[in-house]
Amino acid sequence: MNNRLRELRETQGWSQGELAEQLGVSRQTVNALETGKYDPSLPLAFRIAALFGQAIERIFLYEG
Amino acid sequence: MATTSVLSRGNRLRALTVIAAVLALAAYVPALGWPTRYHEFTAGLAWGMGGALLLVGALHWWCPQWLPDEEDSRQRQLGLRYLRDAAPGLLIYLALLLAAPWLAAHPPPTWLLFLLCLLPLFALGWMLRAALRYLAEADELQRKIELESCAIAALVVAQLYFGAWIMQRFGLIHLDADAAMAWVFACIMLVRLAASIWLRRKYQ
Repeated sequence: MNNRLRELRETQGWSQGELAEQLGVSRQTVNALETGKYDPSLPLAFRIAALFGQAIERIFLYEG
Repeated sequence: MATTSVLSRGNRLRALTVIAAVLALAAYVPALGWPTRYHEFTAGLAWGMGGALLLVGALHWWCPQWLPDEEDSRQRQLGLRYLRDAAPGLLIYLALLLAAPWLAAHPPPTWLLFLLCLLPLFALGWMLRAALRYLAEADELQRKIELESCAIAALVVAQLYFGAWIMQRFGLIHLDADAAMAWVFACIMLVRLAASIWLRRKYQ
């Protein structure tokens, strides 16, 4: 699954650490999400969507 | 913050090196002739703990990226609290290991021995409580890494012990059951450390 997390974070001018703090996760988790090595749980995906004010499917792009 | 400066990477490395050196040196005490009756179990324990601390020190020094991110305040707080929560259990466990040879040579009354035999369960229960609290408050990726490393450690050590039992059964090796049982916990911790390093790198 691809995602636009890095692009959205950089648009806000946040570091990985700052985004991690806002989401209540570790910096490693944000890094793993951005590089596509880890897919978030549904609750975390909703928190990310709410933080950026976008729909989940506009941030996480499923490539079946 | 005071806590951060006390537990800085440099201070931690220095503390680890000193403790590891003292433990490793303790294993040589019998060779110096003092004390005269120094149990080989205690010497092995000193070697094991000294070696493990040296391994952690080496990882801190050469491969800090393999260990939990120190710049991550959330991760650091979780780790510190886990250590604080688990410390009493660890200390009881350590004290019992150190006292075991002396207790074997000077057995206390049965009722006291019974209580002492229950203490490791209490200590491990305390550590289990700390570990469960850590898992409950870790974020989902950290929790996945910790649980997977625990599962790998349990399976690997169980298979190693089963393999060793088969080899012993057919007379290929001969291991002392007393020492083998004492090393179960250490083996699980060692394999768990290696597995968590591997998994952490996988998600980097």
